[in-house]
Amino acid sequence: MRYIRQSALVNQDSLKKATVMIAGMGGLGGFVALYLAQAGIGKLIIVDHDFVEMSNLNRQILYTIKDLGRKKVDVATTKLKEINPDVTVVPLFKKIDKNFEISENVDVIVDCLDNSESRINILNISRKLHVPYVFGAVEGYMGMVSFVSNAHEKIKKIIKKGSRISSPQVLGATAGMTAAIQALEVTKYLSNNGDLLEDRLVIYDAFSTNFEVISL
Amino acid sequence: MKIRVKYFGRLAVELGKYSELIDLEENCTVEQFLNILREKHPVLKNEEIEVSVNGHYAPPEMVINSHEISVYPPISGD
Repeated sequence: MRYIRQSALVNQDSLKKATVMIAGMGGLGGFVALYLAQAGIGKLIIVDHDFVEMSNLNRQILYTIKDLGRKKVDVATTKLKEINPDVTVVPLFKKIDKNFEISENVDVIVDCLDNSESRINILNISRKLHVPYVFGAVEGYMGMVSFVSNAHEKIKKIIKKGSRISSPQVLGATAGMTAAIQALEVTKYLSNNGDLLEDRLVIYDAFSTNFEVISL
Repeated sequence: MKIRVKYFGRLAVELGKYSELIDLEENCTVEQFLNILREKHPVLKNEEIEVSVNGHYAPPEMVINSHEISVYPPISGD
């Protein structure tokens, strides 16, 4: 009954059998995890090494003022289990550096990180594991998403140049919009339906209400 | 030739406009275009800028063969 309003849209059995790793549980990661938990993904591996801070609360949907000072992955695990008890949530309190490894099988990796170095590390891991990599980034009123199967080198060029501002201005709605596209790409991929944003980059500028889709 | 340049994200904010017409010579490359752009708009001098032409990622050596191109900043926030 929980999934009756999406039964014609997705392959629920495939979602249930899937394992998705979400790298970064900040503005993007919170919304991605929320949407994927609601959709009924079988297992979510969530990775972050930060604690909840006051400056997170304008956009990071899973955290409230009661959570200040707690590990993001612990708070997120509790919230996601409340949202959908059927989902297995595996919290990893780790930094995604060059030594990061994942021992479990994953079907897709979602990049919700906030710095170029960790993004490159997780991109390389996805390549090594031969699993798709779903890039997402936000700044101001602008968001970017790409579902990378083959265009690793081109997305790497874009990621490497993207580290200029360490703590950019971001609205919660921009993070939510961008994360929603990431979550939809994962859902379509796992259900084997729809036209993926494969090796294409979508840019949405909410300030000017302009969309652009670029082949990588 | 005159081309329509569309600006995204902080580039549009810094310039205070979402698009403009810029005159380019024939066979202008992306790299040459970026030099012209930074000269015309010194506020972009230190900006990382990516370009797409006809909906495709445009590397620096690509010759611009379109009347509309998009420029956007690479971003990394969460």
